Amino acid sequence: MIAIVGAGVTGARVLEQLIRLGHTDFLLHDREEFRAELLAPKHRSSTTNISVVRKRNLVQAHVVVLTCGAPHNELALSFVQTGAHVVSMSDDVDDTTALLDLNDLATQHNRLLVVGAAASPGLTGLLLAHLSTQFDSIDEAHVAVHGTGGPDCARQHHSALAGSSVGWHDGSWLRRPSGSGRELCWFPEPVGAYDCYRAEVADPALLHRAMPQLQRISARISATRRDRFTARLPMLAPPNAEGGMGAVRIEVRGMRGVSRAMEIVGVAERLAHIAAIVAATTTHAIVNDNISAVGAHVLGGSEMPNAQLLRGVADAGLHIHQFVGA
Amino acid sequence: MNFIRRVLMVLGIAGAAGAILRLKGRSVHTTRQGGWKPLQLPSDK
Repeated sequence: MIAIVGAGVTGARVLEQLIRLGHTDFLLHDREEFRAELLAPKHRSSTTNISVVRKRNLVQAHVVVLTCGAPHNELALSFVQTGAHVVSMSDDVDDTTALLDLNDLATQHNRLLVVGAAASPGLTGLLLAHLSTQFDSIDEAHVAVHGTGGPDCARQHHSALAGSSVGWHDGSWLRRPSGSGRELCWFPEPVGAYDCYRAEVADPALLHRAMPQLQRISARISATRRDRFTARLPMLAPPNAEGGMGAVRIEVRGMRGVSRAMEIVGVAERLAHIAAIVAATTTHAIVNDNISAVGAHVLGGSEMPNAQLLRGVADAGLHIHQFVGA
Repeated sequence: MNFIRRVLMVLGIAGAAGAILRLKGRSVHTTRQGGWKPLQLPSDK
């Protein structure tokens, strides 16, 4: 049985994807119960059983997918202690760090905690692992993201531009103000080019965890002038129910033979859809015992079946594109 | 009083200059040509 915590935009997409993958028994929980009560009947059928439950009843689940807004670390702690595997979609820096700190506890309970199984982080780790096979060695990874998923994701995007970005630079963590470091990044069509800026996002820390040999890791998010001017203020307008078309790209640099090489891959799709596909594919692999690791891990790490997961993501309908001709 | 006015004026000019630089700075073009093609994943699972 799979439990989904959060019945918002991302939670609904995760449920859709898991049903598509053939799963039939679900527990659904949201801190606002009416949202779960609204979502469940849309997907209930003679073969699909969805029960809306209170948090304490989620302990019956074999795998818990955390799709709600951060923080996830306390929820993950309680679920691991009760014997469930946990897939967290958190993209908050402090939260993902706290989740990775649960490694010893998860190992002790013989449970798997997947941290950052979403679009960025998540898909970026899988793409990094794939691209690393095209090089003799890699030393740089640079991520850029455009768009937001649901309202929680939009709030996270807003606060990420007000914080302090963290990047890995020649063996040490480099802090720079969010909103600095403008770079025009090209995303797959129909998104195209957007100015992207440093931001307080979890990707550098998680990609460093996945591939410690990298010397430089950075992450940027697209932003408008209004986004940057109002970043340190409360959100002036409530976020949209769901952002429009988004995109994720990762640029990897390294050595191929004696020459320096660079590869860029990306995906253009609604971010909640990308994140849901990654989380559902990871959950599916856990349920089918395709991941033998225990403890806290990130996608892209050597302990994860990255090629299989990326294939699952592509089979779910995500069109991954590679930049050519530069 | 003059001193306070001067300080405020300096801070105002510095703030305006900072805002102009922040908003009007040029983008760094990482890639100027090329296109996207579907990524070929290994067929074996």
